[in-house]
Amino acid sequence: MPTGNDGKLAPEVVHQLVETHAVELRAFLTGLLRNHDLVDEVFQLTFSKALQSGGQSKEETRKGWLFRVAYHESMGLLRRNKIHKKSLNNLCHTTSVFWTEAPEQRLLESENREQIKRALSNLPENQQTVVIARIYQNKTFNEIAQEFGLPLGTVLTRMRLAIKTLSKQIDNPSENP
Amino acid sequence: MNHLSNTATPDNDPVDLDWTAFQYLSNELSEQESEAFETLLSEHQDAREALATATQLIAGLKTLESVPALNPQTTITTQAAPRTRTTVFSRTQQWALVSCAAALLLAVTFLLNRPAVHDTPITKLAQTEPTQEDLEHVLNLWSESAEDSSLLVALNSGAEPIDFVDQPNALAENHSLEIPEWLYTAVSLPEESLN
Repeated sequence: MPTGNDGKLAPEVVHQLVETHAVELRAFLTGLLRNHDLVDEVFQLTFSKALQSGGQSKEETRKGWLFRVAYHESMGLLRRNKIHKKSLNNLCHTTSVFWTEAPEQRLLESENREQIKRALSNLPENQQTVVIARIYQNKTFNEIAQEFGLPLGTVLTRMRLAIKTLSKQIDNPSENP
Repeated sequence: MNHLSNTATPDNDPVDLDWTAFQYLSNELSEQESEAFETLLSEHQDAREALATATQLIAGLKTLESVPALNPQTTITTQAAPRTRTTVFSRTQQWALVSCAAALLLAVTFLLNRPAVHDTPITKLAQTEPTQEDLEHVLNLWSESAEDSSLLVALNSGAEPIDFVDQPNALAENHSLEIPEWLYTAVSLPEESLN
């Protein structure tokens, strides 16, 4: 394992970690912090820690170690700044901004979008309807249930199944039909 | 699918991390539920990855807003009716279309109005050199319309041009305006008689 002295990680290893986990880690941080600047701050802090003390972690669990450090840095920052969580729209704006920062990220966004589009179109129509009403029209599940004359439980189940399917296809794009 | 087998909800269902992460991001969890999920985030890599996936999913779904096939209104309304193909123009295309339509409308209006303009005698007089016949026609029309006000217009090609600025003075000189008797009576009536 190419680690430096005193638990430090070699810069090339950290660089490799950035290349491998940056997108997922940023998405995770965005979900937690919902603020572009804070995401940047914690992202840098996390990899600084990786440089300083990443060597203490095992190689096979390094991803988990990285995410745990990111989580604790985020929570610390949130506590210090007493930042209130923002809405879903702010989350979308923030993620869009960071995904268009660099060409490779732009490419990823495009791929990601196509992937999601395909996955969404493959959903059963009744699930698509609920996803669209919730995500695009920003309706509550109660409103959706009333509008379509469905029990709330049915709407929640449809959304839950849709999220499960979509998440699965994001995690494993090769399984996308 | 992310299931955390060793973590269960109060009704003993294993936690569906994808669903919980989505609810967490959508602010649909209660404060207690959010705290519980954050505890999961601090302990389980599966939960962290589920949050990352949910974030990507929501952001990705949001960016599809402009895709016509996934336009919310279209999809919702086509549920009951058979699907129809819809063409959606970009804003620029719409402006270009409106501009072209406006230009075409102006051109057609101009072309349609042109012959009508030439048919109008007065305009024709204004555009071409007036002939004697034209002048006579115009003066005749004017004289006819002026008969009611007892304004006489001499039809004489040698007549001096009428100076419209001096017309009130000419009227005052040539026609003594007598005030009719009924006007005197009306003015002199007492106010009570008006009611």
